[in-house]
Amino acid sequence: METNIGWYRGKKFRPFPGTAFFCQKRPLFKEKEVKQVLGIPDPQIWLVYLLCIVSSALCVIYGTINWNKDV
Amino acid sequence: MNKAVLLTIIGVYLAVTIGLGYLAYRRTRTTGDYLIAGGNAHPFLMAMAYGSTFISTSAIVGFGGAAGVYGMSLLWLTFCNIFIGIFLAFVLYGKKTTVIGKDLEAKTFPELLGKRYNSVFIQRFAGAVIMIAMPLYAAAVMIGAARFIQETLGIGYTMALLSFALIVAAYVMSGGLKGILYTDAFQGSIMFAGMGILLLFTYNKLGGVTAAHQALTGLASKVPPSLAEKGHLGWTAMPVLGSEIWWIVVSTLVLGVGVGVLAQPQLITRYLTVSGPREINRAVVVGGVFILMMTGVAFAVGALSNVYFVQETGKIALMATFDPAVAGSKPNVDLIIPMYINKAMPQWFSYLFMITLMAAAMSTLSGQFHAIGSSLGYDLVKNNSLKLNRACIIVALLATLWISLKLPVSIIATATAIFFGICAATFLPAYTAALYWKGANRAGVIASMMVGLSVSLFMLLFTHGKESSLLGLCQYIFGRPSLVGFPWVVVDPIVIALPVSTLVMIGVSLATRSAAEVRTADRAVAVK
Repeated sequence: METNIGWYRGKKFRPFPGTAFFCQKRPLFKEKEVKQVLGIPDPQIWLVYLLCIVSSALCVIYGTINWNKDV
Repeated sequence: MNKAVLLTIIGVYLAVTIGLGYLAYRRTRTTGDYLIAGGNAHPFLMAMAYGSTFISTSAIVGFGGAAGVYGMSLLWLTFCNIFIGIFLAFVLYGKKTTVIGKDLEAKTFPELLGKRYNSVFIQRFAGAVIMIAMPLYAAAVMIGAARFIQETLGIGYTMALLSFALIVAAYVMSGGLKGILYTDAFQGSIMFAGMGILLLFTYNKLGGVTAAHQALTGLASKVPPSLAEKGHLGWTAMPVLGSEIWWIVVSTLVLGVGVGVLAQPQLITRYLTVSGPREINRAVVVGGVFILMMTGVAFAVGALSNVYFVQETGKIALMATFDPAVAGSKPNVDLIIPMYINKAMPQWFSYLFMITLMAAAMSTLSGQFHAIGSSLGYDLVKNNSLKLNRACIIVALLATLWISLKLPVSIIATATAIFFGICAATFLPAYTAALYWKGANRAGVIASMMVGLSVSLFMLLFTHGKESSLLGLCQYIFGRPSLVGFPWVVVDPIVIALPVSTLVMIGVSLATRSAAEVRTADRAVAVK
């Protein structure tokens, strides 16, 4: 009896579920995909890239709100 | 490069600068005009003067080149520059300084400290530290400009240094701080335009923001083994935590310069040029955007220059700065940005960038000459004469020129960091307490300033490897470049000296506090 599911396609059905996974030629654990933001993989770098823009915006907002305050 | 076109552009730029210097000269009648521009400057002028004095060729060429080596981790310095150097500096320090400075009628930073703590010694000591240490920073700025002029015009290094310094000294002598404010606003506008165009061109050339960053990420395998073993993981990654490069980036470049900016005498003087806190509030808007466009662009482009150099020459930026076949040629961090501009950008832009760098160097150097000169004439000699204060600029010029000719290559970022570190350790606790802590007294501040300076100098001479090996005293006495091993050999002096000087000030002030001093302090800190 042949299966029609994923990696098993065309292979012989194994009556004990689970054993088949240990026979597969694929990593046991899925490799963690590195997430990139703006093409930068290191969170410490893309975070500071964004922080630079945010802190600059903070200056603009603060100055605008307090434009006429003399304190 | 068409030299006739370039010389014409430089001529126009210098004519406008000298014209503004002359205008300021006509409007400078008193020592107050000369030292603090009359104390009623427009917030735009103040913010541009602060920003353009803060950002020099050292930041663009020196630290931009450092970003070419260490990568985008230097953007932490941009963040510190904006958040600490502008936002906290203006909001927490600037507004109080303006109010207390007016109250005490202070015209210089040393005088502000001296009057706040009722001590002529403090004023003279602070003046002496500025007068002796600032020429090192000024020399770093001049070297940055001279290297670019040398590269672009093909003239001798000494000639470039000399002509540049003389022009700046001339308009500072004539126009004082008014001249500096006017020319800084003009120069700051040129810098803003130049850096904006540089950013657009670079990202456009490399295929857009994300594509450029991805290309830079892909170069991680090209990190030279000598840098990789020190913790370099690529130009879009932080160095290995606790590694040698991590300490250099975090302690020297980010902390040393990022925090050190709060205690820069030539910047603190800018707060005294406006009439009140409202002007500082308005200046925050201009300052925040300006600094983002300066250091943010310089560091991003410095790191991204690696993509360009690898695509064009197969070498990373640092390796492209020298030719191994030429005897005596060696990698020079300070040449990364000039080479990138000259090779990657259109010719007309290298003209504009030439002016941008001249503007950056001139605006910073003018503030430095003014601070050195006023420290000597007004704070040390304690002479109120306009003529003497102008004459002291010549001393500043000569001292800076002499140091510029003595310093080795790849020194710009290091010399800047040394000065920022010394200023932070020596002045920051005293300055902060002058604004916020009534309990600080004369004895505590004197002890703090002396200990901060001593610890900084000791670490520069005997423990922090980069400077101690350069200065050579430790090698001469002990036969080795540094007294300590890793990691202390790469820990910047500010990390130790600043907390120590702060603790000393608190401890000595509490131990020697008297009722009379408390009353004096209360009066001085009282805000209208």
